[in-house]
Amino acid sequence: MDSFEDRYEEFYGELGRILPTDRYSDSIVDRIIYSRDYWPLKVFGEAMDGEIEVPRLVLYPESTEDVAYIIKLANRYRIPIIPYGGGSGVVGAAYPSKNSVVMDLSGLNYIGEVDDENLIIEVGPGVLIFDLERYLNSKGYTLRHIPQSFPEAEVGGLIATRSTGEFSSKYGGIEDLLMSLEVVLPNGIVIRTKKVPRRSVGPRIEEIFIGSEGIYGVITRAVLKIRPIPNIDIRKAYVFDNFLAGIKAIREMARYDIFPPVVRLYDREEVHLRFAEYPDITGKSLLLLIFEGYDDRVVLEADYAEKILNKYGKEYTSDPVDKWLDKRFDVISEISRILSIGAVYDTIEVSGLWSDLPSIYNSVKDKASSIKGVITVMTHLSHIYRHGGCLYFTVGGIPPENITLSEFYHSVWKTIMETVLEYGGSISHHHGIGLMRRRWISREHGDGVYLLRALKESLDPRKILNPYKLIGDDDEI
Amino acid sequence: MKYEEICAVCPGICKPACPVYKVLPRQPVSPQGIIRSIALFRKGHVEASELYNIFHCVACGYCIKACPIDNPVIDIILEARGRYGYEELEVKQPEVISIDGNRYVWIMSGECESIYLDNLRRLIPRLSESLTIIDASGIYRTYYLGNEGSYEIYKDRLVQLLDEVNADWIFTDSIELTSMILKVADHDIYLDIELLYHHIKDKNIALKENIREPIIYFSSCNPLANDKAKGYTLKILDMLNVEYIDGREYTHMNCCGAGGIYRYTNNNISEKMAKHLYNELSNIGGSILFDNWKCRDHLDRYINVSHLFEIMDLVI
Repeated sequence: MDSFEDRYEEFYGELGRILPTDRYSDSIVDRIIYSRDYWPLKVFGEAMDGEIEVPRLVLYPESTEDVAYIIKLANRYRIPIIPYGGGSGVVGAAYPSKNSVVMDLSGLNYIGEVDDENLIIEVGPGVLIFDLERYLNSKGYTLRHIPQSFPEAEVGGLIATRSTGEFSSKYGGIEDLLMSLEVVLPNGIVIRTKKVPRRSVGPRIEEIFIGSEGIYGVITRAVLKIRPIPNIDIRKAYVFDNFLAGIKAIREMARYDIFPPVVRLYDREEVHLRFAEYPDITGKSLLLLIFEGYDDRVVLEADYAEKILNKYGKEYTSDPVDKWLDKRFDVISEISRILSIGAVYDTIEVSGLWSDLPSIYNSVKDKASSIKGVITVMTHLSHIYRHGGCLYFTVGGIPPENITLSEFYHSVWKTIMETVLEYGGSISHHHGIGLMRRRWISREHGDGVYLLRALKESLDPRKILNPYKLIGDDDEI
Repeated sequence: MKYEEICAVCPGICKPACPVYKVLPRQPVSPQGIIRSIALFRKGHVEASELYNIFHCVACGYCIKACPIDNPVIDIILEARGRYGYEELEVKQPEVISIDGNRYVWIMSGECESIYLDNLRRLIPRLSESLTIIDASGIYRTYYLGNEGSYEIYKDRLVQLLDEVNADWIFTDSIELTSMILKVADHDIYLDIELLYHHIKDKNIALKENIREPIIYFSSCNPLANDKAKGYTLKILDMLNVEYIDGREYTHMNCCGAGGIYRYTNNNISEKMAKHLYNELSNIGGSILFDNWKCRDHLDRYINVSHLFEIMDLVI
């Protein structure tokens, strides 16, 4: 029983003995829909008639027990399982191979009661973050985790990606909003961590699974930290002569503990594309800010920020903030325009210390712009910390003749990843590693990568859960 | 780019808006998933007979409202059903049911069964008007389920009937059907509650004591029809001088699962949707009022609900 086909037959046969037939499907429609996540290389590949590899089966568990049963069975027959959430990941972390089985966790969409005293809520991994936020808002609370994938992403996927959101500069990433987890390990054992605000009992177990991309376990419940909805928001915009002046201004703001939830600084190329209706800021850098909180403290914070920011630039109408709020989830308008001219794009987000951001920015722009076929490299700074921030590059281009889409993508990624590493930055701020970045994971972690690999070997020696992702070798899959 | 090609490269911004996805959260039945599978079929990756998911749609239109570029999702799905739908579908021929003349013509959808007709029979004579009804349930089902060729046959038959009855006014309980007919026939078609309003606007009416206030009203779940239906519903409720609230502000579920004959194509999921809405409604209290008979009929088995006609039956 060594061939995959033999093992799969046994697996499939046993599956039907426990799971109702409506909880798994080998219909070609289901399999092809799960043949990719939102990895642009595969999205554009499909649009441009590239090859499509479909998984063998799609599973639709509805409970932790279903998940544990499936994983035990997969372990027995060595069947690779690809955990799948909202399918909005952009680096191929949920991309299946043809000899794998996709497990869509959307059916685990439990939303518990709000625990008002402790400001927490327990949810399933399949809850759309959009639905959760709407539910919380209707009761006067918020999670305030609002990534660009807000309409499509699910809680489990966001945790497994170590996601962050547009309001992160004040509220933090998903790791800051997570209190505890229930996880099914690769051997089928279910673990549940304790609900406490902090504890000194060794390394934080939740951290193993935050950003794990499903390779160490499958998240089946999460307890999240919520807060009352802020009752005041103040929207501001500032213009700077150039991007680096804007970075200096933001650094000073952060130095003195001013953290508006939304901080977005656009360079002139991105201003040109996204804010063309404001011709007086052409060639400049634009900063959008949203302050929010409770009562007059917010006004004071915005006033202090103004004093700092006016030293480096000047205040502008807040209209662009409203425009951004209105259009921020609409990626399809842009994609349809890009595809209609035969172009493709990708977004690459990295992080670095304040001292490294200028050189990362300048070098990535220079090197990526000189790649044959690249038309534009746009950048914004978002998600700030006292010590640094995230640079978000958007690269658009048309693959030159005799260069495949895949070769074009890889040349852009290689240039940017190696430049970021050279200047001391991290290769990802919040999109994760998946398949796209895994060839640089050893350089990112140095010898530390052996810890991650040893953990995988120990927890999942039969390589059942999402094999090849995150820490896989480049020549696999 | 074609509409389905655009949906195919979208991450699925419409997903949270889809009432079917709320109870069956699987990518292939999200509006984006359905359209992507149609796009993949057109590229030869999927057989027509495999497109089971094109029947997982209530044609409510919330996905179009959520779409930043207003992609006509329902049209794409219904066109696919028209081409690749159930070949063995049995449909009823449109027929004319006359009540004392033919000044008014009512085009009845497949969802409105005998109670709706009984209400019409009771209500219309009291309003001193005559009525001709066309039972168009056949064309309605054909429209939603597909069956290549038959759609054209039934469309022609309906247009022929409309011409034969020579009506002054033509009304319908189904805005989706209305839209469809408006595309193919040179007739103005009105919603049923429009007729009701037309008849009572100059009368003094008052609510009987067996209706509990506040009235929680639900307009047609189709946002494309909602403004029109809601407008007439509110005018009538204002005339009644009663306290009312918009039920949609109190629920997350936006559809009872009856739309687009989903009750017939995927009954289990449709019933789950009805229960989901019922659970939310039962927490509000008051009398629940629908202006769409399909919704009233579908939810009636779980909770006591009324249609505007039934309230009128009490007051006129």
